[in-house]
Amino acid sequence: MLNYLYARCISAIIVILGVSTIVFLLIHIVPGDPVEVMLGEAAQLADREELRSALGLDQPLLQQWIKYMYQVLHLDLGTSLYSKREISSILAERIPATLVLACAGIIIAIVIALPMGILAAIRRGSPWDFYAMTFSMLGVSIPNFWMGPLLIIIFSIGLGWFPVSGNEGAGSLILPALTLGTALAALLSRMVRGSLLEVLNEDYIRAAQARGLSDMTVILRHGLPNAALPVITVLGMQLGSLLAGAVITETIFSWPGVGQLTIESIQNRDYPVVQACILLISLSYVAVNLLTDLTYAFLDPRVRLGK
Amino acid sequence: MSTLLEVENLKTWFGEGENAIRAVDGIDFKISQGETFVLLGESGCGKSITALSIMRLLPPAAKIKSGSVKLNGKNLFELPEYAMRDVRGGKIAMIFQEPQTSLNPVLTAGQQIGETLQCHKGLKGRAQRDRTIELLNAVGIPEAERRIDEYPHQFSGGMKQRIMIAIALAGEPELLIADEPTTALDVTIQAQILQLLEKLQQETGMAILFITHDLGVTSGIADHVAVMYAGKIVEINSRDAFFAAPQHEYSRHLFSALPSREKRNREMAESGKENKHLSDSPLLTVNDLKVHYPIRKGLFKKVVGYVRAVDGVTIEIRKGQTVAIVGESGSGKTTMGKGILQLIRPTDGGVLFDGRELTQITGEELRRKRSDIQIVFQDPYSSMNPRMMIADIVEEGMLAQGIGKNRGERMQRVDKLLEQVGLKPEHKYRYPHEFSGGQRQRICIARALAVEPKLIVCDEPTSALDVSVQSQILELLKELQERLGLAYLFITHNISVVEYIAHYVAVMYDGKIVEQGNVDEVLYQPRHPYTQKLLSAVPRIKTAGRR
Repeated sequence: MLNYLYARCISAIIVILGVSTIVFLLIHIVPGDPVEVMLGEAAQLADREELRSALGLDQPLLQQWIKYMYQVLHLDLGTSLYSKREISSILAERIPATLVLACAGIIIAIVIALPMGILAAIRRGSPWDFYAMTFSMLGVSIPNFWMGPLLIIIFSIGLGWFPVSGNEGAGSLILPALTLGTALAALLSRMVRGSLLEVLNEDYIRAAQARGLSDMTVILRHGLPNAALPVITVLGMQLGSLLAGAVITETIFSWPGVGQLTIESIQNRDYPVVQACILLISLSYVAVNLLTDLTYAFLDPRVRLGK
Repeated sequence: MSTLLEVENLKTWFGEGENAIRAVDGIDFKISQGETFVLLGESGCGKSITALSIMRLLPPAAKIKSGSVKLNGKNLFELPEYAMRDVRGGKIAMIFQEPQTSLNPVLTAGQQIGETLQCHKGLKGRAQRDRTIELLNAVGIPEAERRIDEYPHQFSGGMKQRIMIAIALAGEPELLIADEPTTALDVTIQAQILQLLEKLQQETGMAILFITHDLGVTSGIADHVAVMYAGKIVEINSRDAFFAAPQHEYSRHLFSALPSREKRNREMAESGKENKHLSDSPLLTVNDLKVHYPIRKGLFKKVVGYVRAVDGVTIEIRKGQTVAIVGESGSGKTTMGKGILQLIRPTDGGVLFDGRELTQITGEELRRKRSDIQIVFQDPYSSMNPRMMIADIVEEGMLAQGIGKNRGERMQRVDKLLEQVGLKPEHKYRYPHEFSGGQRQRICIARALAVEPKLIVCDEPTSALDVSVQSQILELLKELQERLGLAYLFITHNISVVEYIAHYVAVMYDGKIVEQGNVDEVLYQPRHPYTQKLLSAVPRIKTAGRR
C-alpha cells in the first residue's frame, strides 16, 4: 500500500512540475508581444517597458522559469494587471465559493443517483427503471445554460423562493447546486445502474445468494463495492471539472467562484490571473485524480496489495 | 438409507409457448442421505439449470413450469422466499465451476466464510473467527490463522475452490451441490479437491449432487449416476452397473467418444494404414529455447529478476508427426508455442524450421515463413473476429501470403477448405456466432490450412469442447494429417487426448521438459516423478469395484 501511495504521489509531483512549466510558457506562446497584447497597441513605450520588467520578461527564459517556479512554490502568483491586487488573495476569495458549490453539487448528485441507479438495476425493466432512465436521459441532454435560467424563472422570479444570483447565504446556493447536481446525477445514475447490472451477473453474486444471504446484503455488501469502482472514475473526473469552476453555471448565477474569475480575466486580458487560474484548474485535476486512485486502492484489495 | 432429496417431474423452461427452450424437461431422481449422486452430461443439457432450480436461483428468463423438489419430504417450491434463504447455505450448499470468479474480490476469505456462519449459525466476533479458522483447516488451507485475512486474489485456483468448500461447509448442509467444481482446475489439483470432498463427506455425512461432464471423475466418486441429455435424464443407474454396461444409446456414445490408446489402436487396425508421411528428417528443431520475462519493480521499473516461462527446451518434430506437449497451467506450454511461432521473440536458443533459423529472420521474410506454421487456439469463440464473415476470415491469410490470383480463385479455395473440414461451402457467408463451438473450431482449422502450412501448433484446441465434439475434431485432425502430411505440435493438459492423437510426447513442468519420448514409453513407463504424479492424478474409468 505504501509503495502504491508513494508511486502515485511521485507521479503527481512530476505532473505538477510539468503543468506549471507549460503554464509558465503560456505567456510566451501567445502570438506577438505579450505586453502589447495586454496593453493594446496604443500604449506608451515607457508603460510597456515598465510592464515588461514587472513581468520579468526582459530576463533570460531560464532565469524567468526559475523565478516563476520559486514564486509558485511560495504561493506568490504575482499581481493582477486589472485590479492591481495580489493574485493569491484574489484566489483565496474565490476558491471557497467554488468549493462550496462543487461539494453541494456532488452531494445532490450522489443523493439522487445512488438510490435511483440501484433501484433501476435491481428492478430492471420495471416502471422504476423506465422513469429513472428517462430522468437520466433528460438530465444528460438538458444543458446547464438552459436548466439554470429555467430554475431561475420558476423558483426565483415565479415563486420568489431563492435569490436570482450572487452569493448571499445558503438560499443562493440551492439553484446553482441543483443545476450542477441534477446534470451530474443523470450521468451517475446511468453509470451506477450499468455497473451494478454487470456486477449482479457475476458468479460471486450467485454464490452469495446460494449462501442464503438476503437480497439487501447481497446488493450492499457484494454488489455495490464492486460496482463502485467504475463509478468512482467518472465521479472523479466530474469533480475535477467542478473544482475547476463550473464556468457556465457560475456565470449564469453570478456565483463568485474560480470559473467566473477565469472568464473575467480572459475578457480583461489579465494574463497573470489567467495563468494562475489555469494552474489552479490543473492542480485540482491532479489532486482529484490522486484522490480517485487512493479511493480505488481503499476499495479494491487487488490494487492495494498488488496483483 | 432414507431419501434426502426427491426431484419429481421437474420442468424448467426459458420463454413461453411453442418457442420455449425446455432446458429441463420433466426429470425425476432421488438422492439418499450421505451418497454421491452424479449428474452427467455435456454442455447445454440442463445440468446446471437443474441445480439452480433446486436452489431456486434461476436467471430471470427461466421459469419452473411444473414438478416438485422435496428436501426431507418438504416441497421447496412451496416455501416463501425468506424460508428458502434458510435452506440455501443452511440445508443445501453449492459450489461452482469457476473458483476464480465465485469469490467476491473485495472481501477477505474470512469475511466470506464468516457471513455464512453469522447467517446460519448466528456466530459473531471471536466465536465466528475461531470457527472460520477451523473450517479453513478442515479444507486444508495451510497457515489458516494468517490467511483468513487474505483476499481471493492472493490464493491459487485450487485454494480458492477450498475456500468455496469451506463456505459451503459453514452452514453444515445436508446436501452439497457441486457444479463442475474441478473443471477449471489442473488434474493434480482436481485429484486433491475430489479427495477432500470425499473426506469431508465421510466426516459430515452430507450427500453430494455432483455435476460433471467427465466420465473419469464420475467413475471415481459416484454412488449413482444419472445421464442427462437435452433436458431429460436418459439413464439412472448405480455406478457399477453404469460403467459395466451403459444402457442408453447416448451413454454408450459418450464412452465411445472418449479418446484413448485403445480407440487409436482399434482405428489403426480397422484402417490398416500406417503413417505414410512420417519422415526421418526433422521439420522443426527447437534447440535450448528460452523465453524469460523481466520482472520490473519500483518507480523506475528496474529489472529485479526474470520469470523463466520457458527455460531451455529442446525438441524435434518430423513431417507428418504429432508431438504433444503436456503440462499443467503455467508450465510454459503456450509460451513455448508462441516462442516457436516467433509471436514472442525468444530470449535465447534456436528454432530451426525447414532449414531456416527463425530467430534470425525478421520483417518480410519472417512474414512469408509464417504461412508454413499456423496456430489453432483453445477458444474458438474468441479467436475469430465476430464482425467478419467466414469467407473473409479464411481468406485473410491467403491475402497476406499472396495465395490465389483473384477473389474468385480464393473463394474457390475457401469452398474447398470448408469441405475439407466437414462444413458446407454456403457456410462461408455466415458470421462466427451462427456456429456451434465444434463448427467454429473447424473454421479455425480451415483458416490455418488456407495458407498451406507444414506445421500446425494446436494450443488446447479441444479443451473448450464437449467430449463428443472433441472426438470429431481429433478425428478431423488425424484425417488431415493423413491426407496432407501435416505435422502437429499439440499442446494439451489432457492425457487421453495425447494417447489418442500423439506419436511423441514431452512433459513440461516449470518451463522445462522433464521427460520426452514415444507415447507408450512416457505414458506407460514414466520415469520422472512429476510425470508419475501427473499420470496418477488423471481420473481413470474403472469399470468395476468400489470407488
